[in-house]
Amino acid sequence: MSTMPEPHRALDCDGAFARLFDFLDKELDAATESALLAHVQHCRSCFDQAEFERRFKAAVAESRSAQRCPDALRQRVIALLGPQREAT
Amino acid sequence: MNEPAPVAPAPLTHDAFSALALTALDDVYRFARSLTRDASDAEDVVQETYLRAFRSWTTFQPGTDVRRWLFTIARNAFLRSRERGQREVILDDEGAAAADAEQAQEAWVRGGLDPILDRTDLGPAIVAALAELPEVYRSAVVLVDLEDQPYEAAAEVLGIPVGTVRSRLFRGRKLLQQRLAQHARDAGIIPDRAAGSPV
Ligand SMILES: [Zn+2]
Repeated sequence: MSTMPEPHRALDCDGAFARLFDFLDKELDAATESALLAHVQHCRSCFDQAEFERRFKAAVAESRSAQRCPDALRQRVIALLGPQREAT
Repeated sequence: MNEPAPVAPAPLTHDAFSALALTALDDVYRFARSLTRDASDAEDVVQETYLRAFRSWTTFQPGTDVRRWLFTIARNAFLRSRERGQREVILDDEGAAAADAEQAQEAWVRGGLDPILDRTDLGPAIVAALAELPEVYRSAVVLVDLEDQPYEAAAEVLGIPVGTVRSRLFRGRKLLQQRLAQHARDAGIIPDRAAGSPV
């Protein structure tokens, strides 16, 4: 086995899973990303896993809108600006 | 094309900084909620964060991510407040202890969540499930999945190595999936029939 970096070295299922979350979080370099995509396009089981995790991450991101700063707190934070703003 | 590339963004005025900082209020609130179990503690952290930010706004570098800057202040404010109060025991091992059970539940969780992940009304159940995670996992998931911060930024904000961000995210997401599946089943969103039983 070569230790030279091979941009298009194929990934097996374990290798693909180990990099799946880095991929979904956009933390992979381009070469590893294309190796992962190549595996996932040909492996049903990894494709299903990747799709599930992608959809889960999207649902979690979407939950942002379900939690916002309460209005009373917003007013208190804005009030912190009062005296300073007049001073400038 | 002949214009010189801008070396640095123009300096901010205090008013411009304040307006920019306030655009991140929902984000800072969500992050504060991820750090504390208690809603009123989170409100204290948010107020303290903005108090410090408005005081030391000149140390903010224009052109950088104001949310990352505020998250770091919030984390420090949280640590300071915890020193004053009773120190919460951080159960870092909680996830590891449950690892075996997780393995067995994986298929059950995935099968249960799969049909409901695209629902638009899932937000409150996710917020509730997130609230049940130990803080170390919750804060990592909130920074990366909700606030879209890169690993490197999350590592800086939380004061941990990038590898730890990665492992907390992995564990945190698995725990979150379990809690969400449980919530969804309790709320009747996942029919028992479809979910099967958790082994
Ligand atoms: Zn595979």
